[in-house]
Amino acid sequence: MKRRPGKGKTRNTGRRAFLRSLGKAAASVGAALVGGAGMFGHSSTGRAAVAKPAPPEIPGYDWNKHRWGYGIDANRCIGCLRCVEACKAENDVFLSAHHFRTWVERYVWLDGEERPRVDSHADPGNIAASGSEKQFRFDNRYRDEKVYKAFFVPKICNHCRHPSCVSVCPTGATFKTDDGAVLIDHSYCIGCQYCVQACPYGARFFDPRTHVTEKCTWCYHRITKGLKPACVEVCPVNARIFGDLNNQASDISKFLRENRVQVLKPETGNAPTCFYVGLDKEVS
Amino acid sequence: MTIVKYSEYGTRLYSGVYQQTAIVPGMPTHILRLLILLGAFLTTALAAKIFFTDESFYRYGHYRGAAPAELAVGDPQFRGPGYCQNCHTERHTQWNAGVHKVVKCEICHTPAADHPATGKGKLPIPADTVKLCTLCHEKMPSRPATQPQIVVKDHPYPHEDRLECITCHNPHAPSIGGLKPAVALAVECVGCHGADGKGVGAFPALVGRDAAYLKREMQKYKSGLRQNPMMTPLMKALSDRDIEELAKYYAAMGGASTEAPAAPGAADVQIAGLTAKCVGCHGAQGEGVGAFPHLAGKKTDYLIDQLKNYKSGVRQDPMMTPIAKGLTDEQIERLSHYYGKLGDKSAAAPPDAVAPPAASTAPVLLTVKCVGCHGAQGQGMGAFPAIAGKEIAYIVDQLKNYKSGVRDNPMMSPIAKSLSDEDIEKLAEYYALLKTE
Repeated sequence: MKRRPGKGKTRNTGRRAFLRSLGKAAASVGAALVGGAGMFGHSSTGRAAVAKPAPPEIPGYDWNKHRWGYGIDANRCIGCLRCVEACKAENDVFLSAHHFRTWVERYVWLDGEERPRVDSHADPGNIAASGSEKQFRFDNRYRDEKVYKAFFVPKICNHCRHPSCVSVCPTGATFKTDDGAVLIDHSYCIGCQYCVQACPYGARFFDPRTHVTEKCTWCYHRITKGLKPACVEVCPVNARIFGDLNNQASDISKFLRENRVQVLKPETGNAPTCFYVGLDKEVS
Repeated sequence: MTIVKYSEYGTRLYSGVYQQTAIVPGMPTHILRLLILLGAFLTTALAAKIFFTDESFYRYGHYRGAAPAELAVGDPQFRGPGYCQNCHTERHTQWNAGVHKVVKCEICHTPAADHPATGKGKLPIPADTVKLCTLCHEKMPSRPATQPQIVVKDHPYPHEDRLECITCHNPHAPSIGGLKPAVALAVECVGCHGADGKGVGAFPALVGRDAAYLKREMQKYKSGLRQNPMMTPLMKALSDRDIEELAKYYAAMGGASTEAPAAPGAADVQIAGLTAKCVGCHGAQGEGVGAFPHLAGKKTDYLIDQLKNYKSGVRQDPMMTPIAKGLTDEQIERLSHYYGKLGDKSAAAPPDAVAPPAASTAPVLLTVKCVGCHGAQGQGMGAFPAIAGKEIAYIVDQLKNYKSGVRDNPMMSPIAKSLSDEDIEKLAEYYALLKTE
């Protein structure tokens, strides 16, 4: 059937408006049912009606005063992997090369090759160089090659502002805190691993010991005590930067002011709060 | 409205039902049943939701509001350098002044956690420093050029022997970068003063000495106020800046050996303090080592005479003269008595038993110039190569190269120049044979 231009558009808008009003009605009914506290946590209409609840009871810490951000200067990274080992020690992460909350990738273009060769500490060659899956080091496999360009890129959970992992979680086990961290409530995690699939950055893994999903917490037990995450604490070249975006004098604010930064995979719309300097077009 | 249905046998079905549904006119019974079922289900679900959902759920969003506080619990494992400073103040000061202050304590020593509160004891001191240091300093194409890196196999130290990095580098204050790094300079010191700067034999300890003292003495050698065949040419080759760097380096190394701060001229110096100057070359019991003669069993009067000769300058020797000059007459007597008595006890041992079985005595005397750096048996020490077992022709060639100036070295050149061609050949033969003995 031939459609008249303009007509279809009007019809579509009508349908959308109808669905939207239906959603709003359902939301308000729902809100009324549970006493207005906001049965639909994501619904702005439900939450606007009540005062902001008191922040979680963390001694000496008010999450309303902070908005954390993370920076990575790939130009500085020397690939010593102290961050990966520190993270494991600090957070009791499963000690294997294939389970990690943060990692470092090596990008190497050899002379005449179009695509970079990429490996991380979990690469078999690097495991062999370390001699153990409990310690990490990069081997020197390109020592005698003609290298056109090469660098390291530290990776970590991006603690996105629109985290797709949180969107897919069926139980509310993973969530975004008001101070910016994406965390996992292990007592609510059912281990379905939808979030592992949903994360565009591969930042999550399934812990074979506890059968729940694991990820970077920005060392939430450290940052709420005024410390830096372990990976930032140990980095000997300041390739990792952490701080409060609310504080203009913080390391991260300085980093964002003084550098032209970018994020990984901006096309996903995840809006990471992990900002990079020194990436190349192939890094994603 | 009445609808009556009959079965195929003519029985009337639903007869009473239609009177009940009259409340909702027009709604078939099965729909009403469905609605009732749905209502029951929703009620149950809502009740379950109210009863089973955590109280704090939805407090901040679609998650348990108590979770963030739970995740914030936990003691940090990495405590930071400030924590270490509380006890390891001195080390912290040294570390904090150096280029390695970006490498925090816990990177190498593992996280402190509750050390030292619990019975965990000391944190580990890394044993394999080659493996540890190359994590950051091995030359790799992907490392930024600003990072100090070494090609491990080409690094100017004998890695075949797995010499640890910390032999030359102080991990807490490695002088990397800057003008001429003290570490590179110190290579010229380690042969005689030991890899750790704690002194070898007659060569005094440098570590733990006051930086000002070291600087002053080195400048004396440079200006000629103090004279020594080994120190003078070395110091003349250094700039004032180098001297300062070296002085700071050794002063910062700390850990002074017990013999270093021996107060000169103290009346009650123990005999052990005195013999410390002898044992390095003459052996712990004065039995003699390599080219160095035995002292034990020598006549006391002979020892007194010779020491006094060295002191007065009647007898000259680059090693003995300064040592003897540092002794009072009383100390000379005490030492001589000590070694004289030692001989009585070990009289059974023939005095020459440990002397090297050299073909002639001549090369043995010549080796006095070599053993300080290349070791009593020519086995090499620290950065100084082994010479025992090398080809005769090679040793001859190299010594002649030093002599003629083809090869240049502040230590080897003056020594080689003082040797005749005959001496060179004897020495070469001596060391070439030493290996097989």
